[in-house]
Amino acid sequence: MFLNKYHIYISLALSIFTFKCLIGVLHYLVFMDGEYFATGAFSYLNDHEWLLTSSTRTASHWQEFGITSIPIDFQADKNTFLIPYFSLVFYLGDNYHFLNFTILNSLHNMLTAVLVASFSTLYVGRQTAQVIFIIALIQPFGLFSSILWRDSVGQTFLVMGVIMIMQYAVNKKNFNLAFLGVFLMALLRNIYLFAGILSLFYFSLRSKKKTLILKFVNILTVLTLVSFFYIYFYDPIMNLYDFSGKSVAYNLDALGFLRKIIIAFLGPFPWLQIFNPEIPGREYMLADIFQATYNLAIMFLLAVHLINTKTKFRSYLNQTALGMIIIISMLGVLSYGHVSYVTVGSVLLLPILNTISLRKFLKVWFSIITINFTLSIIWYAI
Amino acid sequence: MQTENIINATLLNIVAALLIFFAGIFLLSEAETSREYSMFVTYISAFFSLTYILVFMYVSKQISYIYITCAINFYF
Repeated sequence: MFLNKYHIYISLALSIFTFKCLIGVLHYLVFMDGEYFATGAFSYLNDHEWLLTSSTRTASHWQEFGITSIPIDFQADKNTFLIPYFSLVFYLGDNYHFLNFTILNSLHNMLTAVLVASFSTLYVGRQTAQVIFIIALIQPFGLFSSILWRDSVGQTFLVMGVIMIMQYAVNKKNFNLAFLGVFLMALLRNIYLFAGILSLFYFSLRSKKKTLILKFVNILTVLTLVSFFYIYFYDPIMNLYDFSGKSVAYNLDALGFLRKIIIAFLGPFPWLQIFNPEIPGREYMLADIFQATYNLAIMFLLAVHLINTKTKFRSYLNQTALGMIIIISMLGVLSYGHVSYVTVGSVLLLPILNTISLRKFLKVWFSIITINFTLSIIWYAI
Repeated sequence: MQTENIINATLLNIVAALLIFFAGIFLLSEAETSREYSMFVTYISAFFSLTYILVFMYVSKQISYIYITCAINFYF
C-alpha cells in the first residue's frame, strides 16, 4: 500500500499495457506481415523462428501426450524452461496464434515494473517508490512487443530471482527460497545461475557464523565455478590455435571487443541504419536504441547520485544489487554484446537512486536520445 | 504494511496474477477460433491479471478478492 492516488497509477499501468500491446500488433502488421489476421505465417530471422517452432513443438506434444509428458529432446533445447512457459499460451488456448505472445510480453513488462516498485520499498520512501514505478513502466525493453523473444518474460523472472535472493539470503528461516531465486534467474539464461550463486557465496563470506546451509552454498559455488569454466573456457584453452575462433561465443579480437562494448551501451549507431533494408533485424532496432539510452540515463543518474551523496555500499543489499547487475551486464558484453543482454537488469538499479524524480529522469533520458540522434546525423553527413 | 511483507505479498500475487492470466486463456478460448478472437481473449485475461495485482498491491486485499470473484464469473 505504498502508492497514494492509486487510481492514477493503476490507470497509467493499464494504459501503458494497452499501448504496448497495440504498438506491438501494429508494428507487426505494418513492418512484418499485414496478412496475419487472414492467413499469415511467421518468417523472420532464425532466432525468432526458433522460439515459435520450439513452443509449437512442445504444445503439440502436450496436446498429443498430455501436459505431464515431456518432449524427448526437452533438455537439449536452447532454453529448457521458458519454452514450455511460452507453450502454455498455445496449449491452454488450443491454437497456435503466435501474435498472442505480444500480450504475454507486454504483461510481463508490467509485472517487472510492479516487482521493481515493490523492491524499491526496501530502499526508498513511498513518494520515490511511485516515481520508480512509473520509470519502470516506461522501460522500452521489448517496446515492439510482437517480437518473438524470451527476454521480456525472462526479465520478469530475472528481477523476481534477484529480489528473492536479496530478500531471503539474509533471512535464516527462508534461506531455501534464495535458491529458488537463483533458479528463477537462470530461467532466462543458464549463465545467470553463476551470478546468483556468486551473490549467495558473497553473503556466506560476510557471515561470521557458518551455518550448514552456508557451507552448502560454498560447495555449490565451487561446483558452479568448475562447471562454468569447463563449459566456457575448456575448449578455447584446449584449442589455443582457435582462440579467435568461431567455436565459442566470445570474440577475443581487441577491436571487435571494443566495438561490442560500444554497441552494448550506446545501442545500434548510427540509428539511421534502420532505413537500410540490408541490415538484419532493423525492424526491432529502434527499441534497442531507446533501451540503450534508457540504460545510459540510469547509469548517469547513478554516477551523479554516488558522487553527490558519497554513498558507501556497505550493506549486503546495496553491494549485491550493484554486483549482480555488473555481472549480468558483463556477461552480456562478453557473450554477444546485444543491448538486451547488457541492459536486462538495469531497472534493478532504480531503487538505489533514492533522490530520483520523474522530471530529472526524463530530462536526462531525452538529452541522451537527442545527443545520440544528432551524432548519428552528423556521422552520416560526414 | 512492512517492507518485507510488501515484497512477500508481491511475489505471491505475481504468481496469482499469472494463474489468472493462464486460467483466462484456458477458460475463454475455443478450438479453431479466429486469430482476432484469440487475441482478444488473451488481452482480456492479461488485463484481468494485471488489474488484480495492481488492485491487490495498491488498493486493498478485500477489493481484489471481490474483483477476482467477478473475473472468475466472467470466465464462466
